[in-house]
Amino acid sequence: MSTVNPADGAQAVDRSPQKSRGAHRRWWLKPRFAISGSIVLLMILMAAFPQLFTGFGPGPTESCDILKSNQPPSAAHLFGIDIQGCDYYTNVIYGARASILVGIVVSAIAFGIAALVGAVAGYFGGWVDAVISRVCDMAFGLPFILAAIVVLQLFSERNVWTVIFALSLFAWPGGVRFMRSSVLEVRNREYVQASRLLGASNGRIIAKHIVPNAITPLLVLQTLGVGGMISAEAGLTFIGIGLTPPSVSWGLQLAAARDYIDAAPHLLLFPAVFLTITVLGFVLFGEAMRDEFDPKGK
Amino acid sequence: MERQKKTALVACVVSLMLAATGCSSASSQAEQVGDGSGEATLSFMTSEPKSIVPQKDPGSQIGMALCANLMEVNSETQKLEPLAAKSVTSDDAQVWDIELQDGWTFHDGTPVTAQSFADAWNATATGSNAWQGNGTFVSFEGYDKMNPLDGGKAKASELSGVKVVDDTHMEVTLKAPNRDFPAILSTNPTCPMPQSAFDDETGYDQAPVSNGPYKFDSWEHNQQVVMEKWDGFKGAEGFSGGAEKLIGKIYTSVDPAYTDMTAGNLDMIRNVPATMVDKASSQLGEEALYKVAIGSKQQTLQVPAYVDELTSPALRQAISMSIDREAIATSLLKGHAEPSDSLVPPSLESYVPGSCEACTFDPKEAKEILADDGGFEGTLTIESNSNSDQQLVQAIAKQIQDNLGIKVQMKPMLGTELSERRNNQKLEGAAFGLWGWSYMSPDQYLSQYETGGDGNLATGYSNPEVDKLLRAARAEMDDGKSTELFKHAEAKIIKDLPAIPLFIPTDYGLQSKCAVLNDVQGDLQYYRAGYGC
Amino acid sequence: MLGYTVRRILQMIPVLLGATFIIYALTFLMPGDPISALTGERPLPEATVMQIRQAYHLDDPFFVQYGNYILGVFRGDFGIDFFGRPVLDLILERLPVTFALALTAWVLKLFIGLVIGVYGGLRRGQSGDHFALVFTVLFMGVPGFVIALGAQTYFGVHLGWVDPAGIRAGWPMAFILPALVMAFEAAAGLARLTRTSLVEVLRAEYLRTAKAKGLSPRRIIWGHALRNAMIPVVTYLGLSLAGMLGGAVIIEAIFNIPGIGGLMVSSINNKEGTIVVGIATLLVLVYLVFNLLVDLTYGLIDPRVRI
Repeated sequence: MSTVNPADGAQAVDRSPQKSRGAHRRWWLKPRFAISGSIVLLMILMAAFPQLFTGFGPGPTESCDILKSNQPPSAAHLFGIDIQGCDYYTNVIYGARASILVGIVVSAIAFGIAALVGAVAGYFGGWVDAVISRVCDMAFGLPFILAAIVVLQLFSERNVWTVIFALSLFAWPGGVRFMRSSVLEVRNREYVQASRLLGASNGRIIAKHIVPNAITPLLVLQTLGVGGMISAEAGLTFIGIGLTPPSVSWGLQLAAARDYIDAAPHLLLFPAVFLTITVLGFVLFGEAMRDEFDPKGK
Repeated sequence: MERQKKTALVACVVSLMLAATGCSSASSQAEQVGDGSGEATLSFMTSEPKSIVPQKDPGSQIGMALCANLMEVNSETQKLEPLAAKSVTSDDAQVWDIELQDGWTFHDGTPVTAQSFADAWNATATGSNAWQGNGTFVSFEGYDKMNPLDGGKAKASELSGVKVVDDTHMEVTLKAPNRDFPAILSTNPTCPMPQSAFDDETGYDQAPVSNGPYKFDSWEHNQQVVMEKWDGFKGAEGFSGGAEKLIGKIYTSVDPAYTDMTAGNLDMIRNVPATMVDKASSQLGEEALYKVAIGSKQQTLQVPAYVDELTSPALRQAISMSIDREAIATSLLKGHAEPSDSLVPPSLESYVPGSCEACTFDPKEAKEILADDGGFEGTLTIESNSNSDQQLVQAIAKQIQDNLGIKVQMKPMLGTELSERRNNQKLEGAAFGLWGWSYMSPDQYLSQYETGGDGNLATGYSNPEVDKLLRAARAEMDDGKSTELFKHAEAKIIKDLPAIPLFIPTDYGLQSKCAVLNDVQGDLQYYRAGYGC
Repeated sequence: MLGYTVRRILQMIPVLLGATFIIYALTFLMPGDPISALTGERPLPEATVMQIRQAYHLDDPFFVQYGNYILGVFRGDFGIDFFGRPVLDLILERLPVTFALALTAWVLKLFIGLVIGVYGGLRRGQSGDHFALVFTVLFMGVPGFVIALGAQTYFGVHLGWVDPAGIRAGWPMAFILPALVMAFEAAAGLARLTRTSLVEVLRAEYLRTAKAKGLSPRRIIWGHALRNAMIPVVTYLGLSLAGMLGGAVIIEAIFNIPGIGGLMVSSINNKEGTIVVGIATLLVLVYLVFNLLVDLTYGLIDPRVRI
């Protein structure tokens, strides 16, 4: 809730659309960026180097004592103890890796595919566009959960990469449509026509002119999607088709906590709070980026 | 103004989260359930039945209520007694004479005759019908001809071992002697069927007519199945129940059923998960818990004989000794399970306390045994059903890894995949297994370790001496002698540890104020419940 | 318009075939044996398994199985499950439940999302805008089952306003709570889209013209801005209804609603391919029809679009 800042708001309202690109200068100092950006940075740091946050102590499944199962938070164990008798703080910190990795990698893959396929569809049009659109329809029409379950079941061992694979398979069509319509706008601009007349190859035109000029909205869209992907992973894992132990993830922790909501509410509370803050951070970051960089949002 | 609105919204969200974590305990308003007509109605939790015909779903609680078997356990005496039969007798445990009660009828008034049983059994034993009760008749003479192993056409349409003498007499011949035959006659697949079942099969699937204490009333798919007490039932009180009307309410899982019970909309739940037991006793009260005194199930770590790295008995012993069952039972399982120290549950006659010597926790000794045996270099995989007991499997894996110092890898998978790997002997390591009896007998457990026995595929354990002992035990009509033979067989099996005994889980049921739960030899059957309002 | 519609309907056929093929192939490849799921730990005798495999043609090559299936579908025969019940019956008896839930949730989401979105759009950059954003995103971030369980316990058990589980109370009482939870979870996307779209329109030239002409701000907003801002929103709404029909697995499980989601998960768990493919086919069809309807509506509300 602390991202609410009246000063920032007033400035945004008064800004006229003609304002020069100079308005972007020092955008990262704005509170919206500063706050959501630090959350994102913190989480990425936590995912990359969880040891920093656990004082280089034992890992998530080390030094556990089953007899201490489900003990509530205490001075020695800030977040309490989990079902297996392990320190919950360590586990929640290490849980960030799976969520962040899935969110970022899936969005990046979706971004890559969407940029390429969308550009091709929009630039060439005709039957290429028709085929791509029908394939998108297929991927769109299949209920996401059904498709994800069926794909995930193909793997006998499900780790972060299999989940990333399954989510990526169905995460790109939205971006393709988006990219396609951006490309349609750019395609007939003068500079594109000009380079076509000068004999530039299709590949060159796409790479040099189409993609760079149409990609910003897509980038923003995919940034917004990171939060969604993080919750999607948690959701899949929660219903038992995502990650499986010995992986450590917030989704797994939440799924396990569900049976102990009354006996050990701390098991639910901590991963839920971390997950919420992370999703919130990424979405707000994406929103802030959109307001700043997306020509449509201006 | 703005601020107030915000605060209200925040408060709302927070209160939702608090409610989710159960900070305020649920009201235990187990008010009387029912439709207000004053009729003694009890509702129980069920999933949407795949079938309510007893032969098609051997575990169906609805099927049990609808059908009166030849033999049943009397809930008052807790003994297996003749019900639809007057007597079931044999001299050699192979040829059995069955005499039926006179004048019993189906719910529609047609008489129950020996032919009603024979017809039902023949239909169930017909493989191409694909009824789930089929396996019950494997031990009958003539089964093989109806179910050729080469997948070819059946050479017979009737069990040659079943002879109808007259309306009230029949004779059954088994492939091999089996003293448990009367108990087999108490299971769902051996229920009788009226002629009308064969005249209109699809109609019967939706509205079965049987001969039990409750008769079918209606089945609203995905909502409920309603049964009414049948006044034509001639069995004793111990074979029936207290409710005038039984409603099987359909739930997709036990969690919403439990919530519905806390709201006072449901009377009975069986197979309550251990994690729910403490919650229930604090929210619904101690009296809502029904603890089944007889443990009928066992959790084991099955070690397949065909996995070469795991064949050494010493290695198996070391693994077994590295698991602190006591600690897991008290902490993780909250005392709702007993450490198991034998290949059968303690409730069985043939149980010998401590027959599994390697079931005592001793990490030091375990390491020594392993070292003497040459150590273990690879990874021990533990395959398990991803939808159940994941925390338990994780704890066991961790114990072995920490205490024995070997690498342990969990491999959770869907139940279908696990069964497929088990049945086709494609397991790559140990598997977490849960076994329960269909009727109370050591044979139901030990046949897992008999070549080709029920459940033998899981471990593939085969020992001619054991096979011989088990055959002899089944053929022995004297209780004491038979028990001795079973004990003997178990002692032989346990040396090889084809399965490492883990726990005997305690079974719980939940009951509302009006329901008085009842179990028969460890099996909690809904329709047996008394009505206490 | 008619020609367009016919062309679109023809385009559906390859999409439908492709989607069913993908799902059929994936279910075929999935490990696990449907027959072993029938009895759990106690396997059926080998001979029986063999007979069932024959009866259900499980040993035929993949393309033969798929071909037979598709031919059946064109005749309206979606196959039977392992207990002899027609798959179409299984799906159809659950479809109305899912429709009731999805539609209720969709209408509620429409209301919540539009109100928050329009509010945020009109107050762009003010604290109300930021608050609306954080509020909607919060519902996106908090794990859905926490909200669902909380609402169920609070409104269903404590207050007793509705039955906590099941649909015996019928519509609307049995559906209102789960639908509300779904609506709040899904409202964030709609609210943000409405807001962005509205902000964009409010900046457009013609609104300036309207302002210059001296129209009252109220007329400008309600008469011009909202109408134009709704165009992208309509696309999104149509497709999101189709999405809601297939995506309520967790909500269905928690509130014990016998809808398509539960059937889907259980049939995947039991590897009952015919049911999985049947559901997929139906949901893809629903999506395509909605997609078409949305595009047709587009032409009605946006005079610039000619179809």
